[in-house]
Amino acid sequence: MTEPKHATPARDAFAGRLHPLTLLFDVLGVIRSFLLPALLLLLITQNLTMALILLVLMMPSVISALAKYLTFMYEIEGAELKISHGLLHRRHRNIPLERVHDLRIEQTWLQRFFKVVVAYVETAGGEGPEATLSVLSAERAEGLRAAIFAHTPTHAPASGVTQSAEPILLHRVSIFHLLLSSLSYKRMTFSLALSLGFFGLFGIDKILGFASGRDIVNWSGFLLSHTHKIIGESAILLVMMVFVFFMFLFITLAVSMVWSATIFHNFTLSRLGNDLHRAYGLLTRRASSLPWHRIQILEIEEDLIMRSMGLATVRADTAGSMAAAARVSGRDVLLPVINRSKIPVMLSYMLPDVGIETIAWQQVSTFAIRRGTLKGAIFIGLMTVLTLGVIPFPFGLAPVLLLPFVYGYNVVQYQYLAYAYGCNYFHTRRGWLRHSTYLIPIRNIQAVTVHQGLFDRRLGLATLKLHTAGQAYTGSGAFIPNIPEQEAYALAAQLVHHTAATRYRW
Amino acid sequence: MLTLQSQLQFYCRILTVSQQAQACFTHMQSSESPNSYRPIDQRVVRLWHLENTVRVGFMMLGLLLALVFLGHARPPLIMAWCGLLVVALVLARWFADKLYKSWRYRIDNEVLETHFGVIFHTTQLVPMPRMQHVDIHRGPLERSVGLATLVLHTAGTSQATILIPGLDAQYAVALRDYLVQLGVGHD
Repeated sequence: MTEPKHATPARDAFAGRLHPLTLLFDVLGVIRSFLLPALLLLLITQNLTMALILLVLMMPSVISALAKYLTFMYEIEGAELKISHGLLHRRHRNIPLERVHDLRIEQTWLQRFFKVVVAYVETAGGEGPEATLSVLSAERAEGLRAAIFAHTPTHAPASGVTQSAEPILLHRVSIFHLLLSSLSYKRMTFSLALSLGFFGLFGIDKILGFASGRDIVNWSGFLLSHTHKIIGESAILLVMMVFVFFMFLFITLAVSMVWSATIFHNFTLSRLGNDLHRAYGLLTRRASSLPWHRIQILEIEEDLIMRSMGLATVRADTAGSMAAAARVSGRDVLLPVINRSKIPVMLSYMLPDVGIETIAWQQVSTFAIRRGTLKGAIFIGLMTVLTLGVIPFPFGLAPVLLLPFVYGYNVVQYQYLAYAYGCNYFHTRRGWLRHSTYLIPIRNIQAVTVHQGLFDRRLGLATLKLHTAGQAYTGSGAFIPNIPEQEAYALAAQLVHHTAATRYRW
Repeated sequence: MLTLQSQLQFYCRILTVSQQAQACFTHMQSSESPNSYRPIDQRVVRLWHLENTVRVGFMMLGLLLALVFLGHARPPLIMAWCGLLVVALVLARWFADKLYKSWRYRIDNEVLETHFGVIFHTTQLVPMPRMQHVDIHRGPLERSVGLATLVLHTAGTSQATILIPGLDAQYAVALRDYLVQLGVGHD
């Protein structure tokens, strides 16, 4: 099945309608949204009439889907992508092609069976996709992508980059590396949140499947009664806590592994001209492209576990980055996992003139240690006062024992905290357990802020913050604290004048 | 490129700018170098006093209502409430005065810079070519004292938006037009 072509398209125009299967997928979507309320109503009322009422309520959505299919038209004419739809309320949207950052393509397993895809037109506007074409045939979507980017001058290859018709594979993530990356702190935290949400929604006994809640209680009772004979009651409590901890750890690890392997299955990064293409996913297959010059800020993230295995994650923000749902779909990462040693080569395709190996890092003021320790000491002092109100002297002084750790933490933080001002890039790095290195093209800086709190002013320090567009995936990462005050102001002035002399490209 | 002073005088002539703005431009031309910081309009202190007083008033009224409804409206607590009200009003006034004294900004052909803060000092710098658009906000209280807030947007996050409060309304319009022209000149 192919989409019917739009009547008499203009010369050089790429025009068409949605695929006829749009109707099927839209109706399935409507059914899916009504299914849960319908089942609940049936269970509660046990009255078929209520289900019939729901069926009637579904009709406007079905008619809306039909109207969408019949009226939806897209067309590339001149330098614009024109989209129009609507029966009663007709909408026309003209998107300048030079503003299109990406034509993101997603394909669920059912859509893969029918060889259709959903295409999202992304621009720098951070409010979600500029337009959604659901659904198109896979070939048609690829044709649309080619037609859009053929009109976009910024997608022409840079000098020295040879243009080839086929994408060149830069990196493929192995399943082994994916499983290792699932141990990262962020994935584990995310998976823990997922697991807890899942348990909260369905109940732990239903998730485990092998036993009912009563079985678990009986089994725990048996375990407790036998253990009680060997060790005391307090020890049993400790054993139970350790057991629960490891059970959660195991489940979280399992969720993290399954999630990583499903979302990033067969992850490939390839290059076509100046565009970096990503394709990944087991159930829902996703494909997106990113012109390297649209990278606003790039982050290399290495947490303790990943670092010990010589691995890292690369994130990149464009002007249109949007945090919502990005982590679930894996859009926040440019490379989910890569060997640290391969990063310089990979960066040469992402930020061609960055030269990460030759960065001359400049450490911040040693007062950083004093500032951090002072803040920590004040916090510990307050904690001690509170503790002494509950626990008598001398045990109430226990929080004071944390002071050496606070000092040690600040020393380790200081050792990695640094910045570098290059010809075309500003670099910052920070972190303790999780090391983050940020690369910011100076031409993409939108504003610079110097911030000084009470402690900063006392010690003659300041925090320098660089603002770029996006920053949804890399967080508010482009800042460097504890720079000597005069140096921070001088750097800020130099950076804005440097930026003013460059041209910003979306 | 015309200087900032001559540009603003040009807009003054077109827009028949108020006496205060005229005085401000004359002062800029006569006594300040192009790169020196400029203060915001002193009328903003009155506005901030009023805003802070209203804010403190609402908070203290809430506290008083809580005391009454919880049955703790006894003389010692009412006395303490009165003391707290006086301290809060004095602090609010002091904060507005200090904030006004901390506020300054400067514009050259390439950069707009603002500096402000009482406890936390913040300096914001925006390269003029990164300016996307400029807005003027005028709330009812600002309108009542003839002031406006200039809002300069960039493509960055919300933190990369620059606000200059306490500008004479007509001066703000002239400054906006000047900034827009400066931004266009960089395109």
